[in-house]
Parts: sequence; structure tokens; C-alpha cells
Amino acid sequence: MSDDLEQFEDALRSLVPRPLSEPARDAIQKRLGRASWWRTIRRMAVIAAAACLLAVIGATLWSKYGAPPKEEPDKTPGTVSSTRDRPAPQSVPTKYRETVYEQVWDEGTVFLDPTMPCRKVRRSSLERVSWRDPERGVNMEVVVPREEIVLIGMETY
Amino acid sequence: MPDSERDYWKAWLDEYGPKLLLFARQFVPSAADAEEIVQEAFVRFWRSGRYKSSNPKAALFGYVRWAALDWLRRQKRYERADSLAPPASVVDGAMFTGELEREEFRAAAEEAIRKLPADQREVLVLKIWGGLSYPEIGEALDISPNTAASRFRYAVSALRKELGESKR
Repeated sequence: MSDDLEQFEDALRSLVPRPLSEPARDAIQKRLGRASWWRTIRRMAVIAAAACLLAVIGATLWSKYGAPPKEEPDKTPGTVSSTRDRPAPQSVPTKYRETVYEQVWDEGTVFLDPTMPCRKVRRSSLERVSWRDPERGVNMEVVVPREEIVLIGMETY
Repeated sequence: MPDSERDYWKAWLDEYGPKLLLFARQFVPSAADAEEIVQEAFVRFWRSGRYKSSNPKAALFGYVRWAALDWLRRQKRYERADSLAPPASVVDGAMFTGELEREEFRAAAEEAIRKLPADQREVLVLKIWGGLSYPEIGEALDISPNTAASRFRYAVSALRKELGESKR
């Protein structure tokens, strides 16, 4: 390339192209700003959808292959399997309530205030409550002593 | 996404905006129409993610060319379809800015460039002001690098003849 030609090209390069106007730049900024916002939402939606899909696939695989196998009860005579491995009992234990002992004492007249006489009665009892689970052959028994005082209001004349 | 990355396009627009506008004006004489074309092309280019490609400059000018040709096609359809269509774009606004003492050269150069055939104008602008190499010009215009070089030589020769040594 000759020097003349280079000089001519340099003279052309010295001409500076006009810049974009501010409204044009603003318009581009508006469109690209909206685009990046929309892209962010779209990306989040895709991630959420992927997470849901993975969760569904995971749950399906877990229910099919991942759940621990159900243990058969040990049928060998003389062995006792732990209660932890046993399934929860389906039957409801039978409840039985029995009053073993009961006595009532009349302890006379008392005054809650000078114008209000009452008859004081003391009631003492012993109660036994038992549950029985016929399926597992389990018994549970609780003995409950009770004592209560009852005040019965009296008519005054 | 960090702000610097989000605003990366601004750096691109600062560097290439004037060059893209000049390139677009080789297709449409109106500055306003050329700006509209640059807007459309730049937004499409950026959304496509081509700025991450191996040769983003050529792709960017290619987008402007595509947008300009599309604009011209739409304009022709519009003018054919409606006899009351607005008149075709008129030449408005200078293509270049610069010092006042070079105003005469600027005006003469613009006039000479406008007289060049369109295919030579494209190559001239991409080479001189776009800063593209011949292979890049070839990629942007979908022509071979040799064709680009040949068109550039013709364009420079015609410009020199038109402007003459005295106008430099």
C-alpha cells in the first residue's frame, strides 16, 4: 500500500461518525432492561419447574425402590422379636374400672360464714383401673386412691 | 447478576453505537430511520447472546445489515400498499461530526460516499470506521474476504478520484 493511499485512509478515519442520540440510547436501555428482568423471572421459573420435576421423580423412585422392605415376623419358636420392629397394634385395649374400697364419713356441721351452715361429708375410695390388650396379651393396671370432701348447704330457719 | 455484567452492553454501545449508526445510514439516508434500525439490531444481537461468540463484531454489523434490509423491505411493501404512504426517507443530518475547519472535507466526503455503489459503501464503512478485517467483513456481509478487499480498493479509488488531493 502506497503512502498516499495510507494518508488518504487516515484522512477518512479522522472523520468521526455521529453518536447515537440520547432517545435512541434510552430506548435500547429500556428494552434491554426489561429483557434482563424478564429473563431473570424466566430463569427462576425454569429452576422451579426443574426442582418440582426432580422432587416428583425422587418421590416416585423412593416409593418404588428406596423404602425399607417390610420385615416378616420371626416365626421361629422361642425367639422374641423386639417391640420396636413390631407394627403398631390395630386393636383397642379393653378398659376395666373397679372400685375396691369406698367409705363415707359425716363429719358434722361446719360454717362457711356465720350465716351459712353446711354438712361436711368426707368420701374416701380406692379405685383400680385395668386395660387388657387381648391381641398382644398385655395387661396394665393402675390403683388410684381418692379422697374428697363434699359440703352440703343447710337450710336455716 | 452483578451490575457490571448487566451493564456490559452499555460499553458495547458506547464503542460501536456511532459505527453502527454510520453503517445503517448506508442503507437508509434518514438519521432517525438509521437509529431505529440500530436499536432493533442491537437489542436482537444482545438478546441472542452473540456478543459471547468468537467473532462478535462481525455478527453485530451483520445484525444491523439484516435489520436495515428488513426495514427497506417493509418500507417498500408499505409504499406499495398505500398510495398515501409518507414520502421515502430524505437525507437529513450529517454522517460525521468533527472540527469546523474540516467541515468542507467532511461535506465533500459524505457526498462522495453517497455516490458510491451500495456494496462498496458497506465495505468502506466496515473497514475504515468499523475497524473490521477483510475476513470479518466477509462474515458480516456473507462474501469472501477477497471480494471484500476488491470492493474496498474500488471504493477508495473512486473516493480519491471524487475528492481529489486538493480537498484533503
